[in-house]
Amino acid sequence: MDILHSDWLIHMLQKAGKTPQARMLSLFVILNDWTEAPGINAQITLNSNHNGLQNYLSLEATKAGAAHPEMLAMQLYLMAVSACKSKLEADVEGNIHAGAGDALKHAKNAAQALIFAQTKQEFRIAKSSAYAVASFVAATVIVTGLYFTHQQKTNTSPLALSAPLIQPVVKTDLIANAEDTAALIAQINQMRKGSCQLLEAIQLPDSYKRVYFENIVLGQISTNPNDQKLVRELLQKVRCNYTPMLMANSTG
Amino acid sequence: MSLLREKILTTATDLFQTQGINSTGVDTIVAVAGTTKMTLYKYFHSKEALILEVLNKSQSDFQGWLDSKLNLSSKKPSDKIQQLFDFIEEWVTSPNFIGMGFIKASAEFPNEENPIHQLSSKQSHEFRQFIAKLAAEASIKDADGLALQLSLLFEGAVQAEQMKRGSGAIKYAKKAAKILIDGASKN
Repeated sequence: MDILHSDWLIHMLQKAGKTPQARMLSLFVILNDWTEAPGINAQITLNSNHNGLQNYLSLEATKAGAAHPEMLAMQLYLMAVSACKSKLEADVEGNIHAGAGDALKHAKNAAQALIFAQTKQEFRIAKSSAYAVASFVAATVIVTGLYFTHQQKTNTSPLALSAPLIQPVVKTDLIANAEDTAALIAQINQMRKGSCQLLEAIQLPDSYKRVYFENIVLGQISTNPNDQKLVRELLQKVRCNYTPMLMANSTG
Repeated sequence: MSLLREKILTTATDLFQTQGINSTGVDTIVAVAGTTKMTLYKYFHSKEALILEVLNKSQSDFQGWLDSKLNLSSKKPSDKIQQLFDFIEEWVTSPNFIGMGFIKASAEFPNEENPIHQLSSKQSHEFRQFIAKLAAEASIKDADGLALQLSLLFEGAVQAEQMKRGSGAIKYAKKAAKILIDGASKN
């Protein structure tokens, strides 16, 4: 059965998640389940001429606001093919190559990072030292921020097109105050010095993932107070050990 | 190595990547290289032997280039793994990039019994191991897992680039790689 080009797969994807991101990622979960199901003679073929799956992914990528939906769809498709092959080889030959049995799970992680790389908004403040600049350009950020959010809305679904136009109103409460931002930056910098057990992003609700990746993983602190509130909550769940390496080793 | 043998190899490498391996006949290769079938068969016993040699040479050239780049760049293992995708991007976006031998070959020869498929699969695993070694040197715990994720990203982006030149796929693969490396470094 040529699963990658079946209507069954598209049907499964459609009901697999509430957000376009979740539906794209579920490709890897569904394929993993499928390769592990009993009595299935799993075979994978790459077929660029039959691209129902790629079209579907491309549509979802557009809804997710990807910078290049078709390209993202193609990459996800190719990664799925390749991971399926690794997984099936591992199942046949015994696990000869490290991690190959988990190929689809790893592919899902990689896909998640790739989706994030294509969908994140790029007007965020890059590094802690840029804080001075941050307050300087704050006003610009609000305006572009609203512009981007609005742009994204129009991208999100065809329905949004018929929605009344949202007037961009500059709201000062969209920018966190300086102390809060500085405190968060300090906390993130402190974290870099210890050995920290970060959260499994997979377990977070989708709406949290972007904030989590950008702020905590990449250390790009947002100036949006709502985001910051979420970051503080998430940071409380991060366990850190600040014992210097040498001391930790000598006690053990 | 004989100059003529070299010439046949580079011509075949180009044609395989641009026209496809299966659809490039020996006749075309000798015509473009300006030699004869007899000469070609003197150096390579069969088209299959030629393909295998092309794959081996492409891979050792690429690996050699990557090694020298990494050796020159930084002594710190944690920098090296981060820079890997910078170099790959440099290579993929350069005007004379024609593709990755083993990725093309494994797509054209899906039969697992085929020696060409076997070699391309071996090269793909070796590249994965190379990334795993970089990851392990950077003290990343799940080095094999990260290597698998990065090589999937890498192969997907190179394939996308082979299908559509200038797609920019590698740029996003690089961003995604950074997220994954940063994530894995903290575990």
